[in-house]
Amino acid sequence: MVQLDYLSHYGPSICVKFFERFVLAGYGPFIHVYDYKTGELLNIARIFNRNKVHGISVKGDHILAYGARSLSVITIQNVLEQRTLINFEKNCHEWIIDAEFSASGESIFLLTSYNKVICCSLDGTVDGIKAVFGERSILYSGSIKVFDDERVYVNAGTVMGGVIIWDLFSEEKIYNFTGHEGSIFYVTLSDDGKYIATCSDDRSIKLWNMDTGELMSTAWGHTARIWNLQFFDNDKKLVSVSEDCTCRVWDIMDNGVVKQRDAYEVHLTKNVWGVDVQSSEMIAVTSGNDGTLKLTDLKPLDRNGDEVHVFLRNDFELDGLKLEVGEIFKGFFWLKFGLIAVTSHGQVLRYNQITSRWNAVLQDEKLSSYTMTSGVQDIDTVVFCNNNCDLILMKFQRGNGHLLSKVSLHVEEISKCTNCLVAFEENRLLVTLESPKPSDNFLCLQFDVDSLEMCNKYQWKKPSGFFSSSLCVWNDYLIVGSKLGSMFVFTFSNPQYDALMLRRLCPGDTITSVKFVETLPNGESLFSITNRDGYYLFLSINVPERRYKIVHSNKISKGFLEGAFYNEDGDYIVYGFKSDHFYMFNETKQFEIMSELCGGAHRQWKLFKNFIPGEYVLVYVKAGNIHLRRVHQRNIPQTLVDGTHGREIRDLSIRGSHPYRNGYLFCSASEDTTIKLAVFERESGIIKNFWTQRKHTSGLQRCKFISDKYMISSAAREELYLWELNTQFSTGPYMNLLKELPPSSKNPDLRIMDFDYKMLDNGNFLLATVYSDSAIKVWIYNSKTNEFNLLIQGRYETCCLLNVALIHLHERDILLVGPTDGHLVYWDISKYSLFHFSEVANDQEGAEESHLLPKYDGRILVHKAGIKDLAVRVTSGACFKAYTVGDDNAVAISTFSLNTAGFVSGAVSCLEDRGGASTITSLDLIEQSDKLITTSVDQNVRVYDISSDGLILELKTYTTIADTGCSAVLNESDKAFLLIGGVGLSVAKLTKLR
Amino acid sequence: MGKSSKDKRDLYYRKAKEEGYRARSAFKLLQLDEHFHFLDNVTRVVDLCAAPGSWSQVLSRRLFDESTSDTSSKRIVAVDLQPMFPIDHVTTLQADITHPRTLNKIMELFEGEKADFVCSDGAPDVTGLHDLDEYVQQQLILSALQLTTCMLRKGGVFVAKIFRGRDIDMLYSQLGFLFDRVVCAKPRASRGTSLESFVVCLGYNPPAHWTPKLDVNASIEDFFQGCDIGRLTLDDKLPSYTEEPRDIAEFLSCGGLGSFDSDATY
Ligand SMILES: C[S@@+](CC[C@H](N)C(=O)[O-])C[C@H]1O[C@@H](n2cnc3c(N)ncnc32)[C@H](O)[C@@H]1O
Repeated sequence: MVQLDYLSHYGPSICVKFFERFVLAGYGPFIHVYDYKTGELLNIARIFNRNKVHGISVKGDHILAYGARSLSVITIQNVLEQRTLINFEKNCHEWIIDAEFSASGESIFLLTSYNKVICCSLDGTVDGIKAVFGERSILYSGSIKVFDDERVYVNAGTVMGGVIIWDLFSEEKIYNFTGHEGSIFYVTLSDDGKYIATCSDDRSIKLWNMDTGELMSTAWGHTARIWNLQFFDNDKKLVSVSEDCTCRVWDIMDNGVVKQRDAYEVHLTKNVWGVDVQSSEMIAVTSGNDGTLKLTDLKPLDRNGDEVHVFLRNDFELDGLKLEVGEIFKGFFWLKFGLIAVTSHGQVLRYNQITSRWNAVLQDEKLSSYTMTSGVQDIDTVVFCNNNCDLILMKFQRGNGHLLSKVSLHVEEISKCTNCLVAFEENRLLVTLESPKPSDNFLCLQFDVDSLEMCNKYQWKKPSGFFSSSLCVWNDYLIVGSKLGSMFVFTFSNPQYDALMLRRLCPGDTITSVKFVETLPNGESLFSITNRDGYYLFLSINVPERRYKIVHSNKISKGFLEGAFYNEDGDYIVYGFKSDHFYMFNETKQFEIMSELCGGAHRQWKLFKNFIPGEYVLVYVKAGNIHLRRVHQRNIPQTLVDGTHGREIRDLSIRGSHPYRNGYLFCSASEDTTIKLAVFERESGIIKNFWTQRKHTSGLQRCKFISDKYMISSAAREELYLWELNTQFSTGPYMNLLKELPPSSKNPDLRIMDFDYKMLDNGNFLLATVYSDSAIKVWIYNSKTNEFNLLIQGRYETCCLLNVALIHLHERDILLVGPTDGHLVYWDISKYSLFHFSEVANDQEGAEESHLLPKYDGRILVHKAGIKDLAVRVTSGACFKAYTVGDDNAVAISTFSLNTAGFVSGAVSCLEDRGGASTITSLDLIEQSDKLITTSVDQNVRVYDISSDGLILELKTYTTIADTGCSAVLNESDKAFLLIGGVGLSVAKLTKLR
Repeated sequence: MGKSSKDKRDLYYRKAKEEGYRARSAFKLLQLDEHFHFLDNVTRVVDLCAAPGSWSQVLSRRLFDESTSDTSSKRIVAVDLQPMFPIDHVTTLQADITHPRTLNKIMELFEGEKADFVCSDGAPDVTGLHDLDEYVQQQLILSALQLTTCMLRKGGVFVAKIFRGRDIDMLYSQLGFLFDRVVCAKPRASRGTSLESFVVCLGYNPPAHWTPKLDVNASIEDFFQGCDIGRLTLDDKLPSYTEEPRDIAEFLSCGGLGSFDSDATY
C-alpha cells in the first residue's frame, strides 16, 4: 500500500484579517497565521475538510471561520498551535455569506445566500432563523453588523443590483437601495453606523446615508469588478480591492463624497479577493488568486521618511543663494552627506542633509549650458563634463561634504563630447568620452581615486554603430552598452585589439545598464543587461576566447527598463518607467516595491543607492524643482507568502535528472500566458520562484523537460518554444529561449495541443507535434544548426488531437495519437524516421521535402470522449502499454504489440469507467512501484496498483487544488514527489507503506 | 457565448447559421435527443434559461412539424432573464427562475396540466471563485428541479446543463432519488475543453411520501428539506461535518464520433 502526504499548498486566498500582531489568512481550507511585523509564519491550521475559508470573524479569544456551507468556532490558541482543527467543522444547509459573533460573544449569526440569518449558540444549537418576507432569490454578498445586543443589521446584496438593509430582530426591511447595476459584490456598514458602502458589477462604489437612506456619492476608479470594501481609520476612509488587481484607498469627505486617494498594484493576475487594514499603523493586507499575501504600507511617507522632498527656488534664497531667471538644474549626484547639483549657469551647489542647508561650491563658466553629471558614491566623487571636452572632477569629504580636491582638464583628442560615462572598480576610476564623429576614437581616462590626477589614457577605434549608453568595468575589460541593442567589450591591456562586438542582443534599442553578476572558475562571467524597451538579459561572456552566450532573456510586463540588480536577498530588482511613473519591481517575487509619479522618463532623474542596504534615493526635476524621494528599507515585510500563478496551471514538469539546492527545479505553465521556473524543497514542499517567462502570448498548453537542460513549451497560435536551462551559476538557474518552432502561416491560430520527443545522438531529437485542426507533424531538431526541420506531416481526421507519444519498439518507431474522439490512433513511421536518424543528424545541408503521413495503420476505441492524458511504457521488446484517462471519467490500459510480420495491433486490456466523478485530467506512472496516479476535476487523487495489469484502486485522497488540471511526478528510489496543479499548486510525497 | 472570431470558424456556428438557429447550442439538444429520443411524442415542454432561444426553436420544430394536426394540447414555455425574440408556438416569459413566483407563473401557463419534458441550459455569471460559481450553478439546476418536481409528469424527462466540478457527484446522487436513470451526457457540439455537459434524467419517479410545496418565502434549500434526497437538512443543531452521499453517473458521449468536433479549429 501507499501513503500520500501533502507537504505544501499554494492557491487563492479569499480572506485576510489583522488581529493583534497577527495576520490571519484563509488559504484554501487552511488558516495561515503570520506575525506581520517579522513576516514569520507561525502556524498553518487545517480548518475544513473540503471547503475553503471565505471569511474570519474574531471576538475576544474566539474565531469564527466560515466558507461555503461550513463553519467552525475555535480559539486563537487553537489556530496558533494546532495543525488540524477539522473536528470542529460544522455544516449549514445553505451557503454562508457572512458570519458574526453577537455583541456578548455568546452566540453567532450566520447570513446565508438566501438572505436568512441562522442564530445559534457557539456549539451550533439553532436558536432561531430570521428573515424578511418574500425576498428569497440568491445573494452574492452581504454582511452582518452587530452594534449591541439589540441592534443588529443585515446588509444584503442581491444579484439583481438591489441592496436590502434589514433589522435582524424585528425582521423588518429598512432600505432597499437600487442604484447599482448588476450583482452587488460587497455591502458594509460603518462602525459609527452613519454610512453604508456598496460595490458592484458596475465598477462603482456608492456611499449611502444610514439615517436617511440617501445616496451620498458614487465613486469611480476601478477598471473591473470590485470584490471587497472596508471602512477604516475611524470610518474616515474606505479601502477596496478588485478584479483589476489593485487595492485603492478612498477618502470620505465630510459631505459624504468619496474620493480616490491612492491606487496600489498589489497582485499581478486577475482578482484580489481579501483586504483588511490595520488602522493604527496604516498597513493593508491583501490576498488574491495568485496566493500571495501582500502587505502594503498606506503611509510610507510619514513612517519611513519616504517623504518626497521638493526644493523650491525660495529655499535656495533662504540659504543665501541666487538662481537667475531661467537658470535651471542640469544635473545632480547623491553622496553620503547629501546632494550635489549643477545649474545651467555653471553653479555647483551642495545640499547637506543633516543641516538641511544649501551652499555654493563652485561657479564655473565651463559648466553652463550643456553639462553631463555623474560620479562614484564609493569614493565621494562627482564628475562633470561639457560638450567642449572640459572635465571637472571633485572629491568631497564623506561626512560633511567639504571639498577635498578638484581637478579640471581639457581633453584634446576629440573635438566634441556628446557622452561622458563613469565607471568604478577596485580603486580604478574611469571616465569615458565619446564624440559624434565616427573617425574619433572612443576615449577612456583613468584617474587616481585620491588625488583625482589622470594616470592613464586609453583610446579605442569606434566600431560602426557604436553609441555608448551604459558602462561596466571588469578586470581588463570595459564593457559598453550601446544603441541598437548592442554591446562592445574593449581591452585595457591591448587597445589595438578589436572590440568584441555583441550586436543586436535583444529587440529594441538602447542598452540602459550593464552589471557584472558573477564569474565561473572556467573564466565565464555573467552580466545582467537591461534595455529601454523592457527586455533584460543575462549574458555569459568569455572575453579571452571571444565567446558569449545569452543564458536568460525576458521582457517585463509593461513599461521601460532603466536598470536592474540583485538585492541582498538574491531577488532580482528591476526599475524603470511606466508612462509617467518611475517604479521599482521585484521581478523574482513579482511585486511592485515602489512607484513615484515623477512625470516620465524624459525628465532629469537618477536612482541612487543610499549607503544602507535596501535603501535608495530617487532624484528628479519636475516643474523646474529638484524632488528627492527616499525609498527606505521597509520595517514590515512586503509579502507574507509568495504565491504562484493567478490563473489555472495547465501543465507542470519537474527536472528530475539532478536535485537543485534542497529539492528539484520545475516549470509551471499557466493560462496567464507565463511559465514559471521554480524549485520545490524536498522536505517542506516550500516553493521558491526564480523566473516568470513572458515570451508566450497565449494561454499555455504544455511544458516538458526533455533532458537536464532542455525544456519545451507549447500554446495557442502555434507557439512552441525550446528553452535551454543553465544551472552553473550560484545566483540561480537561468533559462533562455533557444528556438521557436516555425508556424505554418504568418498568422497562426492553431493550438499545439501536445508534443513528444525522442532523444537522438549529439543533442539532436525527434519531435512530434499535434494540433487543434487534426494536423500531425514530426520534426527533427539539429543542435548544431539550432534548426527544426519538418520530417513528416499529415493529419488524422477533422477532430482536435489532444495527445501524442513517440514509441521506440524493437527498432521501430510508432506514433500514437489521442484525439477528442476517444480513439488511440497509430502509425508505424519507421520508414521515415529511422532512415533519417543517421542522415539528418550528420548532414543538415539542404533540408529536403517532408514526407506525407499516410492514413493511420490502425486505431482502437478506448474512451467515449477526449483523451486527456496519455503515458506509455514499453513492457517488452515487442510490446507496449498505453495508459489513458479521459473526459468520460474513465481510466484505461491498452496493450499494443508487434506481430511477427512487424505490424502493430492493440486492444484495451483494462478499463475503469468510473475513475472519477468528472473529467480525469492527468495521469502519472510511478516507475519503481508499478503505480498509476490520476487527478481529476472532482478534486480527487487516485493511486492504482497496475503491477498485475489491472487497475486496483489503492488510495483516493482529496486534493485542495481546485480545477485540478495537471500533475508531475519525480521518482526517487524509495519515494516519489507529486506536484498537483490547477488553480494553485501543491506538493505531495508518496511513500510505500510496509 | 459571445461571437468571437473563434466561434465564426467553428463548424457548428456555420451550420447554425445555415439552418436558421439562433445559437450553436441547438446542436447540443439535437445530439442529446438523437441519442435519448426524449423528444419523441412529447406535447408539453418547459425550456428554462432559454435565451436567445435556439433550444426553443428545436422544440418548436419538433412539436409542430407539418404532419401534426392536433396542436391544441401542445405547449412550449420558454423562460429567461433576458428578453427573447418571438418564436412560433413558443410562449416566452422574462423572469428569474430562482424566484418561486416565476415557477407559479409557468404553472399557470400550463393550466394545471403536467409537462412531459423540462430542460434548462442556464449558466450564471462567473465570479472566478470556483466554489461559489459551482454552488450558484447548482442552485440554478435545483431551481429548475424545483419546478420539475412541481409539474413534470411521472416518467417525464429532465435535462440540465452542468459543469462537472468538485461536487457534481453530490448532485448525481440527489437526482438519483428522483429519477429512474441519471446520465451525464456530453454532446460533441459542446467543447471537450470546457467542463460543460448535460445531466439527462430519465423516468421521473419522486419519493412517494413527499409532496412538493411552492412557497414564495422559502428558499430552494427549504423546498427540498422535506424530500429525502440526501441534501443536508437543518435540525435543532448544526451538524458536524458529514460527507453527503456522492455517486458517479454513467457517462455518455452523443452526436456520434463522426460528427463535428467543436474543439477543432480551422
Ligand atoms: C447558454 S444560455 C442559453 C442558450 C439557449 N439554450 C439557446 O439555445 O439559445 C444561458 C442563459 O441562462 C440565462 N439565465 C441565467 N440565470 C438565469 C436565471 N436565474 N433565470 C433565468 N435565466 C437565467 C441567461 O440569461 C442565458 O440567456
